[in-house]
Amino acid sequence: MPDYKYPYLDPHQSRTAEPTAWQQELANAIESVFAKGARELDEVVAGMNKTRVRPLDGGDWTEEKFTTLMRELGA
Amino acid sequence: MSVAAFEARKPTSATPPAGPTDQQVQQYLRTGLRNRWWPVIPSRFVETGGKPLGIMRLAEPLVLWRDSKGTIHVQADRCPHRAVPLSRGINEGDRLRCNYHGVEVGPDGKVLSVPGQPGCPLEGKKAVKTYPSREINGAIFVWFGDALHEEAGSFEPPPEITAPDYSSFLCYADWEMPWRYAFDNLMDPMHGTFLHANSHTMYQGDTQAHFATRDTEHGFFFEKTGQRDVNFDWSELVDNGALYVRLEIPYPPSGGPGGNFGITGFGTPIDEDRMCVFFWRTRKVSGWQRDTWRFLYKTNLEKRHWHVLEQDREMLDGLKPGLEKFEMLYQHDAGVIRLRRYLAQQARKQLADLQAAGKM
Ligand code: FES
Ligand SMILES: [Fe+2]
Repeated sequence: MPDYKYPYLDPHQSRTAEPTAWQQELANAIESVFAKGARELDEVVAGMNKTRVRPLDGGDWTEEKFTTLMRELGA
Repeated sequence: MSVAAFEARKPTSATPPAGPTDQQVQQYLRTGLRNRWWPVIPSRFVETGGKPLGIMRLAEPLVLWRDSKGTIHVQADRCPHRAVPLSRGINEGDRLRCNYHGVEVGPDGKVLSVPGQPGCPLEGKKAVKTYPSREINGAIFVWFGDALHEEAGSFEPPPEITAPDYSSFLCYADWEMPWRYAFDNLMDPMHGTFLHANSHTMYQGDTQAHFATRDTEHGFFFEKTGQRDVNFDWSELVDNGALYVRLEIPYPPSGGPGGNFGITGFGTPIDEDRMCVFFWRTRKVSGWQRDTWRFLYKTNLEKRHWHVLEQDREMLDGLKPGLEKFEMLYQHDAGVIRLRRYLAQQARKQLADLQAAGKM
């Protein structure tokens, strides 16, 4: 439980831990894929496969892998 | 002339009482409008069975504590014995115990025990003011009623922060400025184009615009005419059991699908010079889009949103009440003018009712 101390000015209030280096790269890659115009899930997954960020267990991104991971990381 | 003759010459219709002066109205508003729900602190700062938290809101000292079941209690932060802060006491799970002489106070404000003098008339007395409170999406809301409205009024929270088709994050911050400056700021969309010109979301849009106000059932819109979904183009003041502002800002393409990001903003006075803000960042998203936005928010977007909010804070930081007398407003400020007039009307009505009831 965090303590409240005035004046409270904490830029990070939505997460309990720093993102790992891999999570940070993942977020940047997703943003870049969106920035290139991907909107639908299949476009996002195809875009992710063109980035250097791989799923943690290796291999290609699939819709299933991507949505499962997002559900976990976006909770 | 005799007294009787003089009396007879007085107008027959009773002259209305003078009513509150402008000065009284402005002074009253400095610590917030009463008879509203106000958010006071994020829920996460008050632990079940944990230390009581002492804070000041609307210039009233409050103690917040959660009993052993997790239920939140909000009371005046004054021991009924010698008026020291109860927040320096101990949470006993179902009551607070003052640390000075051990007086125990229950969640309804009743003194349960005076250990130093059992049987003392203070026992059983409802001696500590207890505020109606509720929790909404991660924040504790408190009813601040005046002497005529101690019972809480209704408040239907905005759907953006409660409905399941929205996702949201609460951002809380303490700001050193009168609370009304934050509301002025929210009803002033034009500052986005300048103050936030090089932020991630507000890099587009005309620097000149025409604004119009439009009434709603519980407030009003202030919006740019002929421009929507480009920049920070509109704000809506809502006064419906609580005072808040709603606005939307488009994301750049990198923000992904799901439409605009919204802010549902509340600002609660601490005292005349300080306030705290509750900005729920909201988005109407579901499924993988929701999850992805949440992940991006936590990893990348939150710090960018924070940076924008800091630009607002730094512009207004440390200002004191009374800037109005040095202002020269122009058309872009119509939302601000409208807001101020509205708040003054509400305050005047509360003061007049209190006066009429002999409560002030
Ligand atoms: S002041 Fe609290 S018990 Fe005496
Ligand atoms: Fe701003």
